[in-house]
Amino acid sequence: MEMNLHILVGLPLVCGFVLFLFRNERLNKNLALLVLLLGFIWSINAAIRPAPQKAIELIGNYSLILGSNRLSGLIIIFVNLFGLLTCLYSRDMENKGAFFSYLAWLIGFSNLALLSADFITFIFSWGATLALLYALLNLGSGRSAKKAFSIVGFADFSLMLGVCLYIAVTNSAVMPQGRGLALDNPMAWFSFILMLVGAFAKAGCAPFHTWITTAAEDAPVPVMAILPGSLDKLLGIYLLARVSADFFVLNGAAMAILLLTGGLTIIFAVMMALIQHDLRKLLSFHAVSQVGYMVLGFGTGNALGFAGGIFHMINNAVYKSGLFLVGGAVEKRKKTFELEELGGLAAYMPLTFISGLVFALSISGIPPLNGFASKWMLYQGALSGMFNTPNSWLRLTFLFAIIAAMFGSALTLASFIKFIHAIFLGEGRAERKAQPKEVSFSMVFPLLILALLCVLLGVFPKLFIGKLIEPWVGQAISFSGSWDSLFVFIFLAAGLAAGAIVYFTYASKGTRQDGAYTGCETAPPEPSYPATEFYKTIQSMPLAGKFYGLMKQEALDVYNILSGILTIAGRLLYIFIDRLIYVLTSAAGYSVLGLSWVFRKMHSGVLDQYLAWSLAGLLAMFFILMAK
Amino acid sequence: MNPALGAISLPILGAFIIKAFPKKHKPGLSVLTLFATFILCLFAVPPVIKFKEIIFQKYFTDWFSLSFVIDGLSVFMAGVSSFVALLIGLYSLEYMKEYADKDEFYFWTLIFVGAMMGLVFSSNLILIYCFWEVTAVCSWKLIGFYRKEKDAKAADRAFLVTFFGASLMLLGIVLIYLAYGTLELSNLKTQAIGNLFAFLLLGGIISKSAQLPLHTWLPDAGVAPTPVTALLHAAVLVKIGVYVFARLFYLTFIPTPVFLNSVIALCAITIVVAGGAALVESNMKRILAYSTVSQLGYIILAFSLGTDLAFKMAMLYILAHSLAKAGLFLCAGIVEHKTGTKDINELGGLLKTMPYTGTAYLLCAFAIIGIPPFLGFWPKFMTVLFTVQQGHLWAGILAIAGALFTLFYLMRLFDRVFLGEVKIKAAEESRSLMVTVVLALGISSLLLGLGIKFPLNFLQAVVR
Repeated sequence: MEMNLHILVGLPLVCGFVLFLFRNERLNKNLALLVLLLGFIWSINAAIRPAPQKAIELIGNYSLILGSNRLSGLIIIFVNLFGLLTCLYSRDMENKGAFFSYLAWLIGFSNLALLSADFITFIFSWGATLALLYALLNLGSGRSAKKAFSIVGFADFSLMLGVCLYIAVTNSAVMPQGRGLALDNPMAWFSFILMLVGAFAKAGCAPFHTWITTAAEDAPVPVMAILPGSLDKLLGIYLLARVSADFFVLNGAAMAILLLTGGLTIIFAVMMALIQHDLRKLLSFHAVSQVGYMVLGFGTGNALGFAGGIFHMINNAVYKSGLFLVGGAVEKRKKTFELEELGGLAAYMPLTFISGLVFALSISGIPPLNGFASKWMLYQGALSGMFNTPNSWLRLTFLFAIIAAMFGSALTLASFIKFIHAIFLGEGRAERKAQPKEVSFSMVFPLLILALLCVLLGVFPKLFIGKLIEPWVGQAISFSGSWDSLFVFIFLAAGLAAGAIVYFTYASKGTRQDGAYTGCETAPPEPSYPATEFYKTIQSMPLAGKFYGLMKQEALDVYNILSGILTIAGRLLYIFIDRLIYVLTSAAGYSVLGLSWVFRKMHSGVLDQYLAWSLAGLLAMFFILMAK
Repeated sequence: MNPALGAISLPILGAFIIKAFPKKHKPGLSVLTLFATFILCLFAVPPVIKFKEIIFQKYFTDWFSLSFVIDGLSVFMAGVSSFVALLIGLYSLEYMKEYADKDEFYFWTLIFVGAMMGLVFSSNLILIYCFWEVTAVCSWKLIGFYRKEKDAKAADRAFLVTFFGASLMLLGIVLIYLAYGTLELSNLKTQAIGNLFAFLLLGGIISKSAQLPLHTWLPDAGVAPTPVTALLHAAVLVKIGVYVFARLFYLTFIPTPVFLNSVIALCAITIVVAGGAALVESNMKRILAYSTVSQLGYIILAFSLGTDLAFKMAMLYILAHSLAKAGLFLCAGIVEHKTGTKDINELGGLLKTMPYTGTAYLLCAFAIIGIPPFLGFWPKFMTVLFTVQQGHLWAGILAIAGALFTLFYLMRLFDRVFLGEVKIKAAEESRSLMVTVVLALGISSLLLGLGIKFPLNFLQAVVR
């Protein structure tokens, strides 16, 4: 464990400090790459040969315990892989600031979070990634960084409280592995909900997702790819997996909460994605929508759904960070994220196009790519959950979730048709001005690796599930539907190859192009259909129109709600307690002054008055003595 | 020579001796005295590690004696106070440069530091009370430093409110003498204390440490020069109440559960009310002062849990808060110095010209909010954990709500002052002692949080 700690946590942290102190461009790029590469290699070793736990005494009977489990071992590999690829990709990034130090720190603390076997270490490293989230988004704009920090900070504090409750109930700060708490008392429920909030905000599940879509407007692309694109998903869903499989035993109500949140997130976010004009915003809404599938998977409460959720998390991180990086490559050449300004890039950036296409098909759940493989598992998990539950309400919730997932998948495809068409196909508007080239090798290489992963994970899912996910779920996963992706892949590949042969045989001869001729007039130019107009009609539909109107006002943004509640609460506390006390203490002060004014008036220096007082005093004494 | 006696007498004597020196040497000599005081406090550490507790007394009568105690708590408090005082002294070399009567500032600051040292090392209730009132006088003189009517009013309010609390405490001390026949803390150890006595003593503590309902003087005290606010009203003076609470109700008397539970409730309410008020205010220093009120609530909360671990966490909280809150006030001071206003509505976009101050502000703010890996995280999280573990669920929830308020008001302040459009232009930051000091405070919060074993081991070593 010591070696794990040193290489996966210590080294990136120290490297971050070195990079922060010496802002040397070349050193930054290469040292970070070296350290992250070492971390990646070591993470595979750590996953294959899990080290025994190690406890570092903190204070009293509280210790920091390090030790990976099967799930975290798997996720650590991907955390380090994404760190490495992002680092490689951002070599040519402009205005980096301290990007590489933040990246190294982020990877270090994420590794620590995954290596922690007790709640205190976990909360510590988990919270540290929040500080880095802020630092990284701050490279874009301070305002959206603040928003993200506030929302995720709120979630972290509720996670903190949830953990405190959990420790108080179970009387142990060690994270349990299986045999969790039953949700049969209010304390357990409260703790469960608070931990869910923590996981949801990190992963970007509705309604805590708005920081992602705001950050998409101005954060640098590598930051979007590493944080909401991959790392925060991995961490957030890891926590969700631990919460729903290890810390608690889910009951019907808890499953319904997860299913509803998942289903609503899918539908809502994909609806928003449909109408986006900005490439990054479009991707960010899909980043939210995909989380819905994972949450839904954990809501099924069965092994197949859990495995599907984990598998979808990995798959999503692969293609979503890939998509963000494609967006970055496009922006690098065309200097814009506006879909209306883009088009026809497939001819100039073929490698970017191919990987972008693979990612887009993958996220839309087209077989035999990885997005389909995990969605397939999720559907089956949800269906078997639905048939196995005796409760008719829960069955209805399952049904809703399945419909939402299917519907969402179709809309995702629709949205990515727009994406591919607007960027790579059709005629570009600004294209005549400059002919863009393919981006540099260090930028394309990560894209190709990720695209290859999409294909491999999609074609050989059973290998992956069997080796890495089944041990965590603790049982062999049986599929109720039959589907052989290798078989399909071979057929598809043969079809593509045949198409390519046909194309290249004829393309070499060239084609003849004629102008259209109708009667005696030249034909009017062919009407063009810009991809951004594809789904404009939905906005004018009766129910959807209302929904979009509400969304535009940001009335349902959890950030606005949260700061509104806090401001009102603050104002009430201020006026009714703080100011009230202020007035009362001032009144006490003035009453003393008033009293002294009375005494001052009594001592006017006039002899008659003093005599009158003396007489009054004598009389008073007389009556008191008489009364006795 | 005894390091504790040295640390008490050096700044007090120094203040008078420095009066005799020529004007231009006074600031430098004062800071040098602060440095020597800090070193003397460090000399007290090895004996504490060896013997845990050293008591020495002179002129012993049953009600008054010059008796002092050197133990973990007093050395820790003295070390933290003198260290922060030294940093703030360095900062004020530049900040106070242009004020004509800055000699007075240094004089009263040194007297204050001496009184603070006296208070933390004292082991007799009357002696504590004497030093307690000396600090009140220093605070009164320093709040009214600028001599305008508004300043004098705020100074009077601070003095009167804390004096009111102190007189309650004095009454409590008298009653304790009547009941137990001694005011020596070493003789009062492990005695049970009745609710009436305890609440009277608490009156003094909450007035000094600005807890509800005697907290209103602290936001008003923001009219003082920034180093004063940072030293007295954020880092050191307000910790006196906290210190005495720990000394009396954890190390000396055994209070009743009713008393401790009411203190926990009071602190939890203070945390939230002050947090809410900080979100409403628009004056930088008032926001930070309310924040101090709120954070002090956590510290007393931790002390009133009455366990060994919570006690150590509260001490850690004192360290974390002293460093980071002093840093925040000093950042606000730099902003005020450059723009001439404290109103966050008149400020904006300063990050462009003052990147280092902005960064230091963020580092300190993260530490106060309690974001890992900053030092502030550890005591805040552990305090909430212990509170919930002891069954005070509501106090735990309010403490987390307070943390959320902290996040929002500190980020709101940062947003208004450093982001957005530039409203009042500030000159470009240059190499400056002030900026170095605030960065040092922010970075030390970060490093101590990462290397949490170091402060914890120290606490383990000095506290029984």
